[in-house]
Amino acid sequence: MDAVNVKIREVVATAAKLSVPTSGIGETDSLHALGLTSLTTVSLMLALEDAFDVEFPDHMLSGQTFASIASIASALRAIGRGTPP
Amino acid sequence: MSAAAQTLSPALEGVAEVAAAAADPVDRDGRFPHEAVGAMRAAGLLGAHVPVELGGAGLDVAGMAYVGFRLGQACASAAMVYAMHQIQVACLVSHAMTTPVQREQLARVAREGLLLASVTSEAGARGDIRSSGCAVVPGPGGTVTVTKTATNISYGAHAGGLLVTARRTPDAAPADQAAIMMYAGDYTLERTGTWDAMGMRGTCSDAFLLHASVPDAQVLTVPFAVIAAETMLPVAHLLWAGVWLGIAADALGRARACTRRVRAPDGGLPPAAGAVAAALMRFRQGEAQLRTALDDTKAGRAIGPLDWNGLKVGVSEVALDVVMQSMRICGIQGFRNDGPYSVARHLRDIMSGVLMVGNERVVANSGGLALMQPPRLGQF
Repeated sequence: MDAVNVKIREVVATAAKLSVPTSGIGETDSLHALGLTSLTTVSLMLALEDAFDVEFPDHMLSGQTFASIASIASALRAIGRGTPP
Repeated sequence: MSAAAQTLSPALEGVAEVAAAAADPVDRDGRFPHEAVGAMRAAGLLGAHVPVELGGAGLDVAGMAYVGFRLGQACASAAMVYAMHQIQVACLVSHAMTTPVQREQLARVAREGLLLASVTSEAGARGDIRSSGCAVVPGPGGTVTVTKTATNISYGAHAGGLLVTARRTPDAAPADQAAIMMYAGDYTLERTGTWDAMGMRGTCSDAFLLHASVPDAQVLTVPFAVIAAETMLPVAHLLWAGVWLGIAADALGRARACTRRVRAPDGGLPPAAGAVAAALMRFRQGEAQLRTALDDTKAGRAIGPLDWNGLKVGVSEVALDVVMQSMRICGIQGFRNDGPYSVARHLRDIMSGVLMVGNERVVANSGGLALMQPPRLGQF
């Protein structure tokens, strides 16, 4: 597991308020199925922006972007933040 | 989106970019948005409403309202120039398509990207466009002359043509008006006052004394009373509403972007997120009102004068509210004249919506309509 994924998991653990510990979540498991709501998605998005010092562009602000650890990692890569600051 | 609108869409984005880049100097210096209008001309936007058979794109009113909206996001003055021009074009399309002279007028708009300005205002008419003091006077060799003291001709000094109102004959009553199409060269404009206003500064709505001599074939045969009621007022209200919503949308976008950057101490939602939602909800009211009016127009459902007035008052108030809400959300960043979250220009520009013509006056003028026509209610 690379450093970005570790960092994403840390953020998910504090901001997403899921019903299971993040250690047990697979890369492509649906975070929505694990309890991510529309409101906690916003908290997660804001926390990721702070942690990675980025601003997600409008076209990425959908539930899909934050659907799984893998989709978050892919979004961060797309905006040039494939590594933690 | 209609086929014509889809075709224009990529060009529109380019024009909006050009307009946005010049919006601040246009506003600061109160100068004509020549970059934006040049881009509109190059993109074929000025002649877009002209029927295809005469060289235009046949863009419908809904398409034009969307163009006004998109340009309103970029530069309010450029968007308003666009809207005012298209109102004149729409009057010609609906009421001056018969004679060869008339068809050539529209063909020139399409071919040359002729920018048309409106000369309805007149000293002494107290803002009533349905009343003229000046008259069409027969001249030598099939010409007519018109001399008019116009209190405002928006972008008059930059237009390639004018649509002018005057009494049909020297003996006609003030409300018995004709509209006259004039090309630059048919008239002279003597500037008698300059436009230095709080907002919409780039419309350059100076006062002019107009002297014109034109072939009598350029006097529209359809009475201006009909043109005003059937086309000028409806199209004006639809296109203005699009422009106003565009201004409000850009302010709202800035407020949203500004809010996104702020963090609550507990890591929760930014404190102003709810205010952004409130502004968005208010925006939707204006959008819905415009969409309903455009749908009714497209379907050929009659919209009464009270409802046209309601569209004007409703959307201008919504747009002002949204810009004001955006200003409060952005706070001092919005109050600044510079920076990505400034909504100062937006607020100054959008004030024009409720003031020209004043909403209080529009509402007062609707009083008789409200009592005379039993309103059909429950239309949903």
